[in-house]
Amino acid sequence: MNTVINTTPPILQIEQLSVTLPTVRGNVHAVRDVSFTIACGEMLALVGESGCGKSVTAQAISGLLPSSAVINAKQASFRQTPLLTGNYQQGIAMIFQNPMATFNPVLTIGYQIAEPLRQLHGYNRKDAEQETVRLLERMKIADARQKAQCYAHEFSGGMLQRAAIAMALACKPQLLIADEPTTALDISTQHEVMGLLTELRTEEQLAILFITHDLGLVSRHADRIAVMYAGEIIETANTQDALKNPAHPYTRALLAALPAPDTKRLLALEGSPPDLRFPPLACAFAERCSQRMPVCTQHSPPIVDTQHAVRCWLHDMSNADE
Amino acid sequence: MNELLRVENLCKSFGSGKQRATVLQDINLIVNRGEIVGLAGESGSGKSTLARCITGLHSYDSGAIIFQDQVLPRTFRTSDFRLQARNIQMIFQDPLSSLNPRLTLGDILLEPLRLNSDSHPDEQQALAIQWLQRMGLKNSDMSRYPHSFSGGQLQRIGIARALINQPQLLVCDEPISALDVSVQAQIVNLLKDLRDELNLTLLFIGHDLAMMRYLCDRVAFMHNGNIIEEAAFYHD
Repeated sequence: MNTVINTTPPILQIEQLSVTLPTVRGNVHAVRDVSFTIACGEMLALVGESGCGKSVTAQAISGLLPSSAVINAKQASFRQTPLLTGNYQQGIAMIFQNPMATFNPVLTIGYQIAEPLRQLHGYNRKDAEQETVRLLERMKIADARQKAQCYAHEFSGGMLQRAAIAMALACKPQLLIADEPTTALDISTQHEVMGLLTELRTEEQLAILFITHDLGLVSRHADRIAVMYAGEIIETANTQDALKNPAHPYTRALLAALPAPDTKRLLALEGSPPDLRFPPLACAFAERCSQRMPVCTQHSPPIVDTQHAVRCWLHDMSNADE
Repeated sequence: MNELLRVENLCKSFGSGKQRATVLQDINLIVNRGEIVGLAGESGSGKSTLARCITGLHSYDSGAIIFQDQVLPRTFRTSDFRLQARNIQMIFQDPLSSLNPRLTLGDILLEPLRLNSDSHPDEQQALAIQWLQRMGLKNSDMSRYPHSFSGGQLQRIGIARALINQPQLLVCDEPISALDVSVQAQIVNLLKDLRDELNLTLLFIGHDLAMMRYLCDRVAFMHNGNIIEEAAFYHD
């Protein structure tokens, strides 16, 4: 296998993260035993369907969860300093799905991009203005000086998402968390945004945690893919490996749901994910799995931890009789 | 081929004077019975406006929309909507906002029957339950409200509501764009099956060309209010 061994030390290290969110209808175990690392300049794609805990994982890292959330981790560090302390973490910025909701509608785009520059980095008004224009130009927005005076409603969706990236960059981050930044965009503007993110990664060694439900979208851009299901990471591998030799039945099901030129019929995954108020004690995917074995409903599968990590009984070494 | 819908030289603009924006310029499109026709293009190209003109949600300026050899009125009155309800129906991108949050699923499915069908209430109830089961939902779901369903379930409810009066044409305005990839496959397969079962005709709007190749027989590409290319997909 053409596995690339990354030698740079990870910038973000998360080990056995779990998040429980109290709600009126009971505690939701949204994230369970999640571990991953991201290196400088690397893009890790966190893939899974709605409600699988990808956004909660991102919010836990960026400290955006409400104080009622119970967050536990064996280890969580960013640039060798501990995370999850509840304080503002400099060096991590985030972009969101809906760029219209990212911006304050009554302040100009330029003012909002300049705000972190002045508040966090001590720029004076003039320097901040100049830097804002530079950031907008960096995001390929034409007439940046005039556009900085515009309000959010005057921008198109794709332009606004690029402005949102400029605002995130104003925080001078080393890690950018992108929470479904292209889901609300057209396919042609999606391409633009992905291209810009890739550029930032190679030119400025920005590490990116990219959250999405679309495996097709990340196939050309991400270095590694982590697939989440029901609050757990069930497979982690480099992109080539994950797409060509998906090991977990859920990853295979996700890939089968995408149309290819010769598809006769899409294989839709039946059923729905488990209720995370009562997470299953054994394999969370067992109920919907086409390759279910008796052991799957009795014991939680071990993580086979190699370059291509997978949480499934099918790949348990002690079980490999065939 | 049996022609169901013909759009002839359709023009539509919004606003007036300097603010006037022409959204559809001289659109020509034919949809045959039993066919799935795709409408692709980026945001602002006029796909949704064309769909809304066909369903009567927008009036149009000039040209004609001919459905089953009858010219549809340029501006729909309430009585026209009544008349067309059993011919043309529509499903939308955001399934939650297209359902009334204060109606139970039962009321949502029964409303079109109460308004547009003369059948006995018991028959209507039976039909609603039949559609519910066809959509993979349980009988007990009849008393639940929209907010308690997942996105894929809501979109299926929207499809059931649209099809319960057995329309000829279903206009789908980006019905899968807001859904997860795994749920998209469920909805697309469902639409395909329904077409085969009911000999339904679909006008499917989207921007995912791979998915459109899978679902559609033919696709028309729109750009700046024009149809710039039309092509058939060959499925073997």
